[in-house]
Parts: sequence; structure tokens; C-alpha cells
Amino acid sequence: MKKTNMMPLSNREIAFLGLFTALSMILSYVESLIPVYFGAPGIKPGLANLFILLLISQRRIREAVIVNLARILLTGFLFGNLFSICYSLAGALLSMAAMCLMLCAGHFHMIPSSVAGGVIHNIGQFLVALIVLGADAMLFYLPVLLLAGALAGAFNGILGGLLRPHIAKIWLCDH
Amino acid sequence: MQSGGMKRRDIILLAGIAAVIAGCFLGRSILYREGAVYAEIAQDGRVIETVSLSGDTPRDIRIETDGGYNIVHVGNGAVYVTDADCAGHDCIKQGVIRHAGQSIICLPHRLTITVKRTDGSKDEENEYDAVVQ
Repeated sequence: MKKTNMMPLSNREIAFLGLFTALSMILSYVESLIPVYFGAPGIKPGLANLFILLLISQRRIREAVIVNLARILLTGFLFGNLFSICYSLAGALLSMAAMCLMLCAGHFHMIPSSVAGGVIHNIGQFLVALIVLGADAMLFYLPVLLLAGALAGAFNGILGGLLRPHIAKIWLCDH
Repeated sequence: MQSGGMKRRDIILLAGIAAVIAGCFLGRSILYREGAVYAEIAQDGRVIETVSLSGDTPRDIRIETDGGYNIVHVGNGAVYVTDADCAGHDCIKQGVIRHAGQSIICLPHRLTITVKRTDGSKDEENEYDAVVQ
């Protein structure tokens, strides 16, 4: 906690961030291949967010922002388009902000923080879709999107809780 | 912050989120109370295809006309054009329609997609009495 965010990253940390970025990228990509339709277009578990959640839970906010931006831009240019980058950014930035507030400022548990992050992620994407597609068309999907965000968030929160002790061990976090 | 069980306020927060989502579903069911609807795809005013919008598996329908093609996406009570080879892509920009009386018009391919209601008369005048905005 005393370790401020302005400290330069060590080589070890940079290597870890690269690993996290690579893992979250491949998870983003694999998810985009899942053909199951969950009730609204583009609903997926958002497993890439697992790493963001882990980083934020270790108070590594700057690192979370770096990994998330790198993932969105890289997957966006590799597998998506400018449009999909806009969607991802809107969701990711809002959910990251929400999870930072909940975990670091609000001291909430990981699971409700992740649930709120998931819901707010989808609200962000909903707002972009609202501008692009028009209100009447999108309003119908809002409840499904919120529910999906909550479920995905819960899933990530539970996984994050399981992974956190191991990540902390190898990275020597929370000094 | 340390791992461990959730506290009371964590549970309250989760319950609050659940309540908001339940409220959204309730609000939607009130907003979108409507009979079964179907889309009528017509070229030059001639109906070439009729598809129900209530099917739960969404699908793409390719409409070939002498001018080119339009890909019409149907599902979850809504219909919209996802792709077309016309110049302006106005049919795509017209977005999603779901209420009886709404329509998408593709001028270059002289194609119209109109949402209609299965219950009640298909008569034009009655149709417009049933428009829900």
C-alpha cells in the first residue's frame, strides 16, 4: 500500500505484465470464437478481465491500465476493427474505474467488485451502442446485458479469488 | 481487502445489483408488451418473404435482387440489415426495427422490410392504429 504507483517497473514486473497481456489477449481471442448465443449479440465471459481484477486487487492500478490498453489495442488491430476498439475501450475503462473504486477505495470484497465491474462494463458498451444503433433498438437488450455482466463478473470474481494467493506468491505483491 | 468471506455490505451490494437488474427486466416486460410480430420483405411492393420475428434463434437471410444483395438479420423480435452492396448503405443506417408499422427501405434495390402483427387485421388502416412507439 505504501508502494506508490510512481515507482519504475522492475524487469521482473515488466516480464509479468507482458505475460498478463499475452494471456488476456489469447483469452479475448478464444472467447470471440465461442459460437454460443447468450440472448444478445456479443455476450461473452470477459475472462481477460480476470488479470485486470487481479492487478487492481494488488493495488497495481497503473499496471492494470497498461495491460488493459495494450490488450484492447492489440486484439482490436489484430482481430477486430476501429469500431470494436471503441466498444472495448468504453466498457473496459468504465469497469476498471469502478473496480478500482470498489476494491481500493471502498474495500469491498473481490466478488461484488467484479460483479459491479461486469455490469458497468456492459453499461459502457450499451452507451456506445445507443449512440450507434439508436435507443429504441438497444433498450430491449439492456436487462440481458446487465445480467450477463453480473454473471460474467461473478465468474471472474470467483476465479480471481482462487488465483490471487498464487499470483501474490510468485509476484511478491502486497508488501 | 484480505481474502476471506464477504462482509454484510458486500452482500447488500450484490443484492442491490440484483434488484436493479430485476427492475430492468420488469420494466422491459412492461415496455415491450406486444403481440407476435413478423417481418414482410417486399421488392417493388411484391412480398417475397415473410419471416416470424419471435423465433429465438437469430438468423441471417440473404435477399438477392437484380440490383445486388441485402443481408437481413432476423431474431429476438427485431429485424435489421447487416450488409448490402448498395452505395449509401442507407438500409443499414436505418437500424433495428421491432414494432408493427416500422419499416426499413432500401431504395437502390427497391426493397422494403415492414414489421407487421400476426393477430388482428392486416388491413393497412388497422395496421397503423396498432403502431406502438
